[in-house]
Amino acid sequence: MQNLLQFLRRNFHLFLFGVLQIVSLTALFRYNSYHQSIYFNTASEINGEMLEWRNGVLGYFNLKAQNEALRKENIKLRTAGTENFLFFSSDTFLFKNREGVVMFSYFPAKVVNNSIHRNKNYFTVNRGSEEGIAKGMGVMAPTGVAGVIVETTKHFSVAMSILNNDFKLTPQINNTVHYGSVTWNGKDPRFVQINKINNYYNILEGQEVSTTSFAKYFPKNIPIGRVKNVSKAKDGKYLNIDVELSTDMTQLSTVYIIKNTFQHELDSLEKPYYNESE
Amino acid sequence: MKASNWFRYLRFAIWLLPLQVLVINNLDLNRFMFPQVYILLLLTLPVNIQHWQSYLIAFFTGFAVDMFSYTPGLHSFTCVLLVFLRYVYFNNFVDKDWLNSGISPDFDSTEPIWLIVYVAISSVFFHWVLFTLENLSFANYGNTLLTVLYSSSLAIFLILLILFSLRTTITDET
Repeated sequence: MQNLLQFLRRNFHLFLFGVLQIVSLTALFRYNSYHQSIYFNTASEINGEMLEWRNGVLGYFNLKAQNEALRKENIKLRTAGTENFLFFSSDTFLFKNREGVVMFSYFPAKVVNNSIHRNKNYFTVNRGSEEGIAKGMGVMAPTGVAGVIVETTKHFSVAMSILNNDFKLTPQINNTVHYGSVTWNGKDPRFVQINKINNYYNILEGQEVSTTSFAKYFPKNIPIGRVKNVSKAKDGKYLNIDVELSTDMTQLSTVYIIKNTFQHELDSLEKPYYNESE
Repeated sequence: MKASNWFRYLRFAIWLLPLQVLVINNLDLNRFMFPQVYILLLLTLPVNIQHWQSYLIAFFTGFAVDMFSYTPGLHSFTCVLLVFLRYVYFNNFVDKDWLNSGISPDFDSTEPIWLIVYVAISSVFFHWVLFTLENLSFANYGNTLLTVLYSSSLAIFLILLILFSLRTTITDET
């Protein structure tokens, strides 16, 4: 106590200095409108920065939960799109009261293994038959088509990557051309090819390539990529089209598995008539 | 502080503060010249004055100027800071024996060169803090620095002029 008093007495002038400066600054920022406005602007800016910084730090702690929530929300939104519904209305001209059943539903999954360097590439996801995954379901990354499920176990599934010689999918180009076939020539994992398109179509570089409603395992308008290069095939009848994939297959991580509710029905219906699968 | 010093301070203050707030502040020389001559009051305080006394004197001197220029806190803050700098300056660059002599810095008691340097440093520092705090923005800091340059130059000149003229009157009286 004695020491404290002595300390205070010895440094009295410093305390006085501090107090006087604080009084002056308080007066300055309180009674001068210019300084007051600067104080408020700066204070709110600093406050905002601090909050942002704090959020930036704290945000990391629940990234996982956030991710999960976003994935769930994504699925909800995806399922809500009209392309996922099959409309039964016999009244074709009445669009007001459209009632449908969900045709496509989505399951989020993580890619646990992925190959890109072979001619027949596959990737493995962490969902299996126990969660309702079955052979023939489509798989898409958030940015576009990724592959098709070919094999399932209880907890895992293997999907045929779009980078696979055996992969076939009917594309639509620029919302107009609705046939041909997307395949991969096994060279560059950034590009796939479309063939069997007649050369009288005016396909241009940069046109969008997406899925059609013909594909049983993908809803309409899921992006595949963009036309990168168009040239005539050797026989002169068809076009060779290079498509730059919208999904970076080398960085595949979160994917959605797409379930078509009517797949069995369609399969059994079409079986006698379509020998070649898409 | 001795009674004679108080008397001297008050005698200065009675004509210097009105001169500052009523005349010099309204001169409108140009947009860069706002010399603060009244800091002479603080610069000529005795060198061995108690710190707390000098802080209080500085605070109330600045407060008086603030009252007349509608800038509460601005001059009082800068004055107290100036006295603090003066104290730091004396502690580091001045002979201890000389400090104990208790003289007030002017042409009678100090070397002219020392006095000029002392007034110049204090004046530039004071104007720099004052105008920086007044503008509180680095957007037009070039203008602020020009104001500091012109104002402090004029203030140094005026302060030295006043001190010099006071010296002659004192020698005349004696």
